[in-house]
Amino acid sequence: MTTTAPIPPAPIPPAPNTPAIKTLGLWKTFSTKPAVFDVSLSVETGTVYGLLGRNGAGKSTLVKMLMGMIGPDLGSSSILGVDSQNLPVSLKAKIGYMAENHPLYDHWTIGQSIRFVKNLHPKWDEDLVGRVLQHFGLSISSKISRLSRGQRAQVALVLTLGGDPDVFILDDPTLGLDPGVRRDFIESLVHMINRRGRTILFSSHMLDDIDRTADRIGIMVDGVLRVDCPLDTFRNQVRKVVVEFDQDPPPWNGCPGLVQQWQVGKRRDLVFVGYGDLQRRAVEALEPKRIDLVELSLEDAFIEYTRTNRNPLPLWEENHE
Amino acid sequence: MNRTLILKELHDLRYVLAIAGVAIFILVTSLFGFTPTGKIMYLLGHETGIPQDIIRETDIGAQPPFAQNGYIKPVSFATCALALILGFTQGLHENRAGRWQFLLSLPVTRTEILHSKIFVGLGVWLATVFILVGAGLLYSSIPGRVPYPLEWWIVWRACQWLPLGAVLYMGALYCGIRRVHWLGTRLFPLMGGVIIVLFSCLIMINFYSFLSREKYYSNTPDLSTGSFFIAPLSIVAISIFYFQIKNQSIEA
Repeated sequence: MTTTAPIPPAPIPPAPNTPAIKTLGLWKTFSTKPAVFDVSLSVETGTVYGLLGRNGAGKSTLVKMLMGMIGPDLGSSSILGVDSQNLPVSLKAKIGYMAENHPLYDHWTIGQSIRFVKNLHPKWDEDLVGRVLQHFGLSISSKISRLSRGQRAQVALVLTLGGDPDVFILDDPTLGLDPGVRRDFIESLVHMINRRGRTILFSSHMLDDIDRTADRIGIMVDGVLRVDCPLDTFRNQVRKVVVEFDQDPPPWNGCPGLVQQWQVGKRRDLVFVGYGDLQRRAVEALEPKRIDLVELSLEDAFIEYTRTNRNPLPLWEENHE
Repeated sequence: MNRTLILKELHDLRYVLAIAGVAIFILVTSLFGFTPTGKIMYLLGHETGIPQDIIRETDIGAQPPFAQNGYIKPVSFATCALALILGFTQGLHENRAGRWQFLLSLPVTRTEILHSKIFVGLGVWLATVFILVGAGLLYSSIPGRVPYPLEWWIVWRACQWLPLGAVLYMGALYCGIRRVHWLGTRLFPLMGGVIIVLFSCLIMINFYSFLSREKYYSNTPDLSTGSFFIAPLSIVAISIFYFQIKNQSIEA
């Protein structure tokens, strides 16, 4: 009598035009603290998507739900057309995931870490791994516990690349790296993974990281996906308007397009998405002494847009008068 | 069962394996009289004035291995301690620095990860139990070593404690795997295991936890009612812990 090994279920190929990554109305609350609210996003195959947000905005929770590591309270998500909560092993092999802080086994060497991950992957690009190790100047005999943060990030990237994945999900991969190392790391990362057809979702709290890589960005503020558009659209749409008054600024309920406003002494700073005639007239109706339209860099636009403290900022000089 | 994950677990447990090895060495050499525990105890008694009767009672080399105060007593405690160390080490190991995220992102299932842990953890514990009990059997089978031929009921009676170690192992593993933020909550599931162990101890104490020397020498089979509670109780407890661990989402 002969026995045959059970045939593993074939991976479900994504239907044509299916987004590589998709979420639909995802919600997650930790005890009483809400982390992600009703997030729906879609990342087309071959896109580099930058997911931005300040610390605690809900990016990592969203990414973990995408990877099926935590379950949502409501909603669903999928990668390559398969529900994230039921990712088969064959599909997980096509996803390259880099967790924030680059968790690795400290008591292992780089070589042991590579062997462990390699043995779990059905295919492994030994040649690429060797070249990347050489590029970073990493020795396989080095112990993980003796590596710097930057080197740990490099090892994590090597382990992510080795399986030759189709989808990369990188959760704040530059967290904790100093600016020089961060820049080198991002440049290497873009060079190595940005080949045609690969989909990359890249979360970060640093807009600089996204600026050089992303085709499209999403911005999360307090668990809500507030922006989901091409990078240039965001760059061109966000405007800051500084309005000065002779006395304390009058209360104002805002107008369409206003996303943030706060008071600094006798000044009111306003952040708009799309500053047109309607918004200009609404601001002029406040009868201010002066209106300044401030050109924002991408970094400034991101900071102004995600600023959550709406309390008036104190103006210390006035306290001494 | 995933071979790579099993090798990883064994590698992660290397220090625990070393501790288990040392414990086995000390217990077995004491049993066979290679470690001069009797001499040490005699000198200790001489220095402290503890009566020699008591000293002899505590010298495992001076008692029949499967009788009261014999070799099986430290073996029971040592295997329970090993079970706790194994469970906690395996559970807490992945909680450090977000390693669950790393492990769960690899092309393996959660069930494979859990089964590898339980397979290795319980395997190491069982191997230790078998080596230690086997050493006791070997010692007892040597003519002239024990005053009475070894009967299986004596072994059964003496080893009835041992399954409780597996309950403690599963409880400790569950404690380590749970996503909690403070010590009380983390240790809460272990309370289940401890309650079962205490409950079993009460039954055992009630029916004489270890075989008394009088009964041992009288050669009257003594399978107390308490003996039959421990194994089924342990199986139920282990099953409950297993399903609790399986249903507990390993949240990264």
